Amino acid sequence: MLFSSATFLFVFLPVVLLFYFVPFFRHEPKLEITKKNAVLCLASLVFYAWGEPVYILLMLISIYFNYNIGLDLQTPVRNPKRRKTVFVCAVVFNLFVLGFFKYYPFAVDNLNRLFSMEIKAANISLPIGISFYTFQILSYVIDVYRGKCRAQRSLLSFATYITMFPQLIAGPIVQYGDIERQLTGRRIGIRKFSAGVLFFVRGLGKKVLFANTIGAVYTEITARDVSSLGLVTAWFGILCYTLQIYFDFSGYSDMAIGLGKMFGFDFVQNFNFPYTASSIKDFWSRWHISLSAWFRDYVYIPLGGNRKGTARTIVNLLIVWSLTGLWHGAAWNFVAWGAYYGVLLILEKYVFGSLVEKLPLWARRVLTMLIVIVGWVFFSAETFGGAAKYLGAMVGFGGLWDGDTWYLLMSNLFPFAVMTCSALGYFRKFPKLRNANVRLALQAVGYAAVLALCVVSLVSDTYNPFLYFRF
Amino acid sequence: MNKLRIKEAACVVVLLVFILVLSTQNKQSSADLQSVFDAVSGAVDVSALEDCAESRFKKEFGLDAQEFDDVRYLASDDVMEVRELLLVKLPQDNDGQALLDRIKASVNDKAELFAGYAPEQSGYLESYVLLQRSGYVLYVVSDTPDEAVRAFKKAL
Repeated sequence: MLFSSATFLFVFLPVVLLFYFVPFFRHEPKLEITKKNAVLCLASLVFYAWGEPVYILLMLISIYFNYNIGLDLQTPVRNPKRRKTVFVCAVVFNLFVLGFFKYYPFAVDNLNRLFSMEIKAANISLPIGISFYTFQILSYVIDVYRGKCRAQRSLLSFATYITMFPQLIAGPIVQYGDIERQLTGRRIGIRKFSAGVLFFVRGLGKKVLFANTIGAVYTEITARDVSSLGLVTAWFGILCYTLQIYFDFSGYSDMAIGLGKMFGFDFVQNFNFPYTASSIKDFWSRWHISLSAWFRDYVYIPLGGNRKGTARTIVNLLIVWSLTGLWHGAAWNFVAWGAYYGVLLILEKYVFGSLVEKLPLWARRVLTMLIVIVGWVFFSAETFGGAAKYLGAMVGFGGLWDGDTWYLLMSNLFPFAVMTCSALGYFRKFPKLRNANVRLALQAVGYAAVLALCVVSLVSDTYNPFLYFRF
Repeated sequence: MNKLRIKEAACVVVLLVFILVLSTQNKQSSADLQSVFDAVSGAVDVSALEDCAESRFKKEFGLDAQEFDDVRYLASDDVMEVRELLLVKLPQDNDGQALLDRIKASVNDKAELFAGYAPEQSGYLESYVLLQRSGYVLYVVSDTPDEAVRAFKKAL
């Protein structure tokens, strides 16, 4: 089920909110929060089963296994080696689940190519959200093992943490430590609920009005033969994709954060105007923040981070960024995309960082954006060869212009300009009004208009999947 | 072995059984595309349809035919004809999700286009079939989609 679908907006969400907020145990706060968790967990299972009825079982197995692992790790033992064995088994189990369902066909295909073999892999579809919920589970297991968090004794609370539908299928990746207390006691008030609604509407607008609109232009461009694309069209196409992926994913994150607030949770921020970044490092501190934080806390720092000398830091960065690429998809273009950022971060840190810092801010931003845009070519392509072809068009292999360049530019210039300004944060300071009531009223009218436009758009266009669902 | 370890081991066993069942169900068929195509096209009326080039496939679904092991696409040049037949053999490293998404989007677009003024074509679109099985994706818009599905399953 999509957040941006009529079924979710007009049936699923209202029903869940109704059951969630109707107090069953008015004078028993503990029982009431248990009831709320039960409603949320059940609703999340229905939400997940809507598109993936088979993989519900996989998720339930993972939940039950890791719940027991948590308790096992919490149990005092005389022999610390035994505890370590349990921890290693848990990590292997979770990586096996992720590896099998996400990377097995990719691995088999590469083995076949490398050794001219004919191994037949079962054609198993990717369980939606598996990369996100496996990382959440791993954060729990690792934090409990390190003693950073206590094991969750309630299976319901643990299942709620893993299945929570607002962030189940496309993040943000919520680390257990950030939400532990909220699972057993959280404040749910009208102020937080309202803030959640605003977040949600903003995200919905980003997805439905911006991402879908500009995504259609990109689809139109890439539907044509790439080798015949003119340089300008190719650049315009990838710029459209640059906007699409930002509004699509940050829109989803806003909706997830908004829904979380409606249910009383505070999730971490996942985007902070990444296209205003002035360096690659800055970009990754603003884009998919929860994923970067996860890799930093659970891979980069345990590998030694930057504490073991330059050579080791370089190796660590390459490992982390290749894994980041691979996390996004079982294909070489994703690995190349990750390694591309790894190499650039290394170069920025050790080679040209000090030179770039001397440039004016606008030049640093333009340079960063160029690097990011080229990176999206690898990301958007279905294959490595496809990315190379598109890069060829961007350097002029198909000529400067093609027959449709002018038409494409002219017919999409206005929405493109509006979205660019929005992505660069030019609208975030509007309106600067002293009178708080007028500002509030304007805000309410603005959000109501966005919601109305989204509903109109959704009624006429029912299918609009999120790009990040494929991860 | 304490209770927790037994529960953990039970989870591992259930997971392995789950994977085994899934793998058996979704094992790639050894049938070649031509034989599956012959079976399916024999079960539906394709007289009004023509064999389409890769460019038409890309135009309709936005994907490169070369990304797949094999593709056969029958459609009509008549803009008022929605009946079509698509059979795709997936490579091992492709779960077909992108293709399924594009096909669904295409059907929705067409359904929207024909709704209200072309009831016969809308009817065909309402009963479209999109199936992924044993490494193949079948998409049929036809007056006898069930026949196509039966032939497809039998051919695999």
